[in-house]
Amino acid sequence: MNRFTALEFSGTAREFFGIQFVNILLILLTVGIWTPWARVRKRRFFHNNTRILGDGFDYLATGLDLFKGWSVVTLILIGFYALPVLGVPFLQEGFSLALVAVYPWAINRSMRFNARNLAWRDVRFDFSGSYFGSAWYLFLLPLIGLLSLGILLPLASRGMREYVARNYRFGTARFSGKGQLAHYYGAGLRALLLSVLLIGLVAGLTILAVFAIDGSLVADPPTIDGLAYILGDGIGAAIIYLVPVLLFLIFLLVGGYYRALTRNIMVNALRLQGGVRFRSRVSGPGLAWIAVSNLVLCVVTLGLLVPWAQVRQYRYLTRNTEIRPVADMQGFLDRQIQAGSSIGDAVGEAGGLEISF
Amino acid sequence: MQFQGRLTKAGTTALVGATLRVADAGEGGATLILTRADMAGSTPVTIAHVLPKVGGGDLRLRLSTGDVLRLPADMDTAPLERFFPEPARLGSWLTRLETVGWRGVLLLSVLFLLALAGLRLAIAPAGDFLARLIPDTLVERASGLVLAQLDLALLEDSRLPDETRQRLTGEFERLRLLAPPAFADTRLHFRHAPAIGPNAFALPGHDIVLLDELVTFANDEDVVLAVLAHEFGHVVEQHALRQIMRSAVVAIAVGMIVGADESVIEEIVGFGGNLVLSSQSRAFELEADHVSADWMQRLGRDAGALPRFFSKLQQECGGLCDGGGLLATHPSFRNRIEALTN
Repeated sequence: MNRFTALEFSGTAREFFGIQFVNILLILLTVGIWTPWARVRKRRFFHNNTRILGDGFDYLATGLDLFKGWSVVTLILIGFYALPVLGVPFLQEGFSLALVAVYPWAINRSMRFNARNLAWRDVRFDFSGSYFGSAWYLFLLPLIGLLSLGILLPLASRGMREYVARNYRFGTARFSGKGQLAHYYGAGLRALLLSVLLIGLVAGLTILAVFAIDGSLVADPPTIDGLAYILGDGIGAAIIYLVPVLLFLIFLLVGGYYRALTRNIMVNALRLQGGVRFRSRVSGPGLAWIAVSNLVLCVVTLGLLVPWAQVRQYRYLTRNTEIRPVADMQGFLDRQIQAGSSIGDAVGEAGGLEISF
Repeated sequence: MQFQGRLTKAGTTALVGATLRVADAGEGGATLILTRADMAGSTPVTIAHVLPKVGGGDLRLRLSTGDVLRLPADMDTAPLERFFPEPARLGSWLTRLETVGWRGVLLLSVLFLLALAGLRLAIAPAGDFLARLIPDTLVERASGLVLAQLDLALLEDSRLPDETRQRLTGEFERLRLLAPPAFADTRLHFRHAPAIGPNAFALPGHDIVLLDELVTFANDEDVVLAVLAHEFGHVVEQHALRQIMRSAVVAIAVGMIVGADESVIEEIVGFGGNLVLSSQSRAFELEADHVSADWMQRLGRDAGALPRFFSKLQQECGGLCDGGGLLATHPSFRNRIEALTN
């Protein structure tokens, strides 16, 4: 059995439709209180249907576990929004800074909570990141990567992905993953080339279209009259509204492409103690295409196709991830630890951040 | 009745085949018997914990022996449900609810759209209701805070001559006499803001801000008075507060209905909510225009001042800043002039 086999995903979009609709209805009926339970059912759908050697993952957290964390965070947020009533200037701003400082802690707790509530067969995962580790690899380093105009972004990607990997465990077995920095920079370079190509294409088409309206416009400095003239023209108005949309789509496309490439590098370098190896065959253009076409279809159907789009993307990712098991994966042991509270998970949700392994 | 599945030994990944069976009447009935492929004989067990099926996932049972038994998704496990611990029955009920056919999906889609339509109709009454619940002192405080923040960021002290300000304050007094008693304490604030241009605005409380630029641009006391009457209309109808509360209703409702899902759908529904809010804001503007026209007439002043001001604004910027459109907070000048002259 020492061969790479693909992960399986046994869920269907129709099943997920049912789950999400019942979720939305119950959330409406309970004026929002059902949200944590809805969240649990959604996570369980995706985990439960992801199968290795025929066995799905089990998400063990209950809605009540999540609800406890949620209520604490909701109370804090209500307090936060009520702060201006006190009339003290900059109190809210100061409080925001404090919340930023809490974030790395919350992310750690969130990842630990979700790892400890995730089991395969009867062995649970664990995450043991530290406050400063998370602050550096998950916040500061990506920020530095962005501020360096992307020059350090591949370095940040490697740091982030490998930090998460080496702090994950499956039972008593540790994960490790050391990819080569050169590979990450290769991915960055390819993403850069792709974006230059696409932006160049849009720029070229725009210039052509502007000439089609009136060649003199390009020579003269733009004036209010000129702007009015462009807006008055069908093609001109189309350009002004269309170009930002195209640029956003390019951003999405290149982002998906880059994430696919770095995911492959990381997963291919990933090892689980005992000799288990992994492989990712996600194709950059494939994932980018799924991201963009999903967005377009969701917008066109006013969100009705969102469950379908999520299942489609998730299935693509699982089917292109492979594992080389060892001895039928029979020899792993659980560490018998408590999952802890879900406050971190709720803070992470409130901040709209979800980092998954 | 037999249920064949895979048994994971407690706390491990070690797997054996196993069968769960409901005991026959002769064996005492109503108990479960477990038979393991790696052991001879069988033992009676109970079910300690259940992770119900979700979608196409397996049913996961933790048995009293500590081991985990997984039964495949396509197996009919309904007969086992009477052996589940109490809380798990809700889960099984949810699972049945979620297993919908295409007809169910259609019905649910219609329900979802109805919920959205209901929300659209509920925005205005719910927001206005909330606005009535907010105590006046709180509104006044918030209003003062907004003005203080605007002063900090955008507004400067007025540079109008004292004499002009005194005259305008005198005119404003006459508007105050027309207002219902609860709004007779409405204050007029003079400010200078080159970055904003000719404008005036009403705050959530009893405050109206008049910018120097409007006074110089209009160069016509009747126009300034008409604009002040328009803003007074906003104050009397509590438009600012109601608009804030309505957008709060939209934000909360959107977060509740679709916010559980990190996806574009929240943006889309939120955008729809903004369309509704802007159209209601445009209705507020027409309402304030109407108040202005009414009060100007009662004061025996030129009721045509406001339309005159709109056409002047329209001409100044060559038709470019006519405004209007689906996302605009104000109707276009053309619409406002039409509404006033009718």
